[in-house]
Amino acid sequence: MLKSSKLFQPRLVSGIFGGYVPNSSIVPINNKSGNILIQSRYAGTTTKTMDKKLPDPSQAIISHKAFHYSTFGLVTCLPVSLLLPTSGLTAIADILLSVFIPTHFFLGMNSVINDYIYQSFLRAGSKLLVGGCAFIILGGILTMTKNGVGLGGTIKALWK
Amino acid sequence: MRVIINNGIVNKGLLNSNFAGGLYGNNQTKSSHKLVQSNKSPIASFDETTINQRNQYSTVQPKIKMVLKNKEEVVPGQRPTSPHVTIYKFPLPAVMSIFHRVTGIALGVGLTAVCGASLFGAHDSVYYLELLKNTYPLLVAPAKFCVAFPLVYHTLTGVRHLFWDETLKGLHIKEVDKSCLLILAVSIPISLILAWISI
Repeated sequence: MLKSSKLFQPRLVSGIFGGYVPNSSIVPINNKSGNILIQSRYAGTTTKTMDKKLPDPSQAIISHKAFHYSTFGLVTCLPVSLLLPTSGLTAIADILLSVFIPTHFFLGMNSVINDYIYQSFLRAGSKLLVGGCAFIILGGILTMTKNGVGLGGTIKALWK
Repeated sequence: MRVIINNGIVNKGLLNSNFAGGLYGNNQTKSSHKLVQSNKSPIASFDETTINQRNQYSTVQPKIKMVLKNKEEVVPGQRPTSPHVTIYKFPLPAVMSIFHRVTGIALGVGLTAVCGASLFGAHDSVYYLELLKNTYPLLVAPAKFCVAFPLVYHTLTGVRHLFWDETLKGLHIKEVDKSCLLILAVSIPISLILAWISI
């Protein structure tokens, strides 16, 4: 059997990243009327459950679509930037990549952060950090393009 | 009115809840843990009020009652997590999914470093790459592999994900296993070749 690392054990990481608690889980509680088990669902907020309203998924749908189309953009523009010699076409591809890559990076990292970091302060801080990195990527790619090297030219410099 | 509940379903619910590990630490928890461990089938019962409070949105008669609970009401217990997390043998698609994320994070960090050097550095990023090549020539090939493998791997798995999203094909377990092996068979040799060649 393959054993996962002890680092991922909740008892070790819970002090740092918060409890190993999914947002929605079934937990047993006591039933005073009988000696049986009753399941309860862990709820994040009271108001949403009291109103019997589901959370608005529109933001998540927009994020998912943006991530999906940014992947399409990467698949289209990255080969142009990496495989073709530096030219006007690669400059256009680089400018497009300066939008697609930070979007893809930010939304992808948001999913990772939402999956693994539970403490609200750490979660917000991580997202802020990732947003800063996305802006650095945006500015860096535009700077490379402005300098005439481009993203593809910079990466290919390692192979020259 | 007393109703006999299928305890196999109750047991399933407990196994799911066991994954949350440590959410509960009262006597009920201990008894539920024993229930799972002993694999017994005790007879459970609900009164009429409980049955009337069943989930109204389901077309199937519920076997359990769902109660909403706030985060503050859930008392963390001292129970250990269910060991299935540590003894579970990860299938290849799961491992490759984890590596897809890992390579994505690595690419993001590396790209941030390169773009940061280009944005805030005294020289262009190409200057620093040339400096690396001249100062540590033995590190060039590993550096190329460290760039090439995440890029190729993440691209191929990303394209496969797009294919899944757009066509809804290739999602059966055998097909996913085959595509995993195909991606590994393509990405590793290409990365190794890219690590040793120069333009």
